[in-house]
Amino acid sequence: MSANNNTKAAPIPSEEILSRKWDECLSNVIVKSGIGLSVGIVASALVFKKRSWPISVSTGLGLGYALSQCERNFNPTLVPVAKYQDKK
Amino acid sequence: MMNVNRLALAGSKHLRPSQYRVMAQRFNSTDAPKLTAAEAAARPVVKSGLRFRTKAFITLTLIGAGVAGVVKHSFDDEQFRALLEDNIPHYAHSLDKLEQLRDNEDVEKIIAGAALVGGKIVDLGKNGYRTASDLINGTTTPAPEKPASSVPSSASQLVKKVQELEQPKPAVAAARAEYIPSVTPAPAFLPGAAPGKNASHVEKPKIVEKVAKKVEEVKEKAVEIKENIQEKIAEKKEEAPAPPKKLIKIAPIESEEPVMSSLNATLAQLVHILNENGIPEQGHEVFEKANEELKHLSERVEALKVEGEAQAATVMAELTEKYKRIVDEKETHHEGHISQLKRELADAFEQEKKDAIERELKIQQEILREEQKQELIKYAMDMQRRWVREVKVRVENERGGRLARLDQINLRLKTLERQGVDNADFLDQSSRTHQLWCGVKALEKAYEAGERRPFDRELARLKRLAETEKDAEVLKVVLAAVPESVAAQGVDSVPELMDRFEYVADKVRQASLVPENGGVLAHGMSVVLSKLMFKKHGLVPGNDVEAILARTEYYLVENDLEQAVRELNQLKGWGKRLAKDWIVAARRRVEVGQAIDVINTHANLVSLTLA
Repeated sequence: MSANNNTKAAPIPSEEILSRKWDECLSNVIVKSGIGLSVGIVASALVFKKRSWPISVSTGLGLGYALSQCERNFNPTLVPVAKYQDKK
Repeated sequence: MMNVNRLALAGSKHLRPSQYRVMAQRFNSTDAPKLTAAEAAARPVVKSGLRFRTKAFITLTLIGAGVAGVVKHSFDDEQFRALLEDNIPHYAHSLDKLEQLRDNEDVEKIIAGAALVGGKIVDLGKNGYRTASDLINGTTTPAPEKPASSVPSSASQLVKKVQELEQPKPAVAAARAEYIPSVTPAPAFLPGAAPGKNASHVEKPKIVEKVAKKVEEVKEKAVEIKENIQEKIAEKKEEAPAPPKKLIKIAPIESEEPVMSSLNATLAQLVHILNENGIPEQGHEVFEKANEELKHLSERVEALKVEGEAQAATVMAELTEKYKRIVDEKETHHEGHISQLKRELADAFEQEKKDAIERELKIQQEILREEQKQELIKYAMDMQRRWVREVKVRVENERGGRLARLDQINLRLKTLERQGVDNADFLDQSSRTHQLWCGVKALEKAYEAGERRPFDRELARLKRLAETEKDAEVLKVVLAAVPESVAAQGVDSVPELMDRFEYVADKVRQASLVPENGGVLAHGMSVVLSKLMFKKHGLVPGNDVEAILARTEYYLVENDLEQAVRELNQLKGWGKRLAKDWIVAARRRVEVGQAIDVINTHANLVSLTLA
């Protein structure tokens, strides 16, 4: 916990922010799709009678979630359902 | 045999009952005749699916619906419309035309006209159907009452009703016109006044009435008397036409009273008349008697007059005596009063004079006293001035003697003092300048080191020096402008900055193609495509990212940090965000360099002005 606090407190050199974002994105993708995969395997094995589609669906869900997180990370101004209207 | 094997295989899988049924049908359908290839070819080929016409129709309908939907949505959503207009050629033009069409009033009129025409056609159709059905069936159905035509018929009905209503009106008016006026006459008088002539006489005063009455009586009497006299004259004439005429003689009575004289005149007239007409003795006697009586009357009147006058005289005498007495009394009284008043006034006057004289005396005394005081003061001042002048003269004389020498000695002493002080100052100043130079040199060394080095100690020393020095405002300000954190951490050196710049430039290039508010995909595309871009070097003109980076590199190589910072500051968006820290570090170095320059100049100035 304290290690976490320290890393948050130390300022990131500004040229690294994008690299940092990519790192987070990548880690997100790996983690979430991994979780999706495992959940899918478990669900397919236990609930869905060993069919193949729950695995792919779950992995896809995980990937999608990771993608939306990445999107929000890169573009923090994105708010769901809001549209940008140019001022006329 | 084959079938049994298949069934067995099928049984090993886990099948649903429907699947099982199908499989069973397939395996058990041995009785259906199998078609040979030729027979199969001879049969007409029924293509699966719909015919081409239907397919085309459906496709066209879908496309039309899609286009209509797109157009409708583009009318509603401005962003969508803008997007389409940008990407589809001639889209804007067609949309404008559609808008015009929509807003066009002629189109609305056409639509309304078409609606009317449609309605009429429908009516015609209905009529035709009715007539046709009548012809066929042989019946007559009445035309249905159109609700549209009922309005004008009711209007005509209303008109008829109005006309009916209007007709009896003139008869009524004629009946009204036969108005018979009333027979009773208008009253001739106002109810307040009494009828008759006496109304005018009510107001007259009663005295006038009496007088009038009297006058009438007198007139009547006079008239009677005249008539009597005339009768008598007539009688007398008849009785004695020729008696001897005795003229009546009357002595005219002379009196002062006008009444008497008038009576006399009338009597004389009467006598004259009688004399002319002739009159018997009786009359004569009567007239003489009357004359005598008149005389008596006049005498009596005269006597009365004299008596009256005598009485009046006595009364007058009494009154005058009384009056005189009263007047005398009053006079004496008033004289005494007046003399008293005179005495009093005289006394008051005397008193006033005395008072006035006293006052005047006092005033004069005051004035004289004042003048005396003034004179004394002037004299005193004069004396004082003379005394001061005396003292001055004496002092001057003395000064000329001994005091002059003291002055000289004082002067010399002062010059000596000043010289000593100046010397000390000079020594102080020079030592401080030395120290300043040392400090600046140390700072410069820290600044110019090959890597980042903290210089807070040197800065503190310089600050201490600046405090003790006079005219060091600029120095103090400049030293205060360098923040503590910068001094503690030190400042990057140029090679370090250059290294960092390479890294930063790389990152900036990667982020250069990202659009505004781009997400993951945009960033990813930018990273990939930026690797396909050419790198520029040298002093190239232009405002794009590559040009800016090239120029900054050039200035860095030339060691012109300021210009490099200014160039890199022109980046926008993600590039700027990425390069921010580098810009801050470079700025710090530039600022510290400027501060050192200023301190250098200050030290130069000080050492120049020292000598």
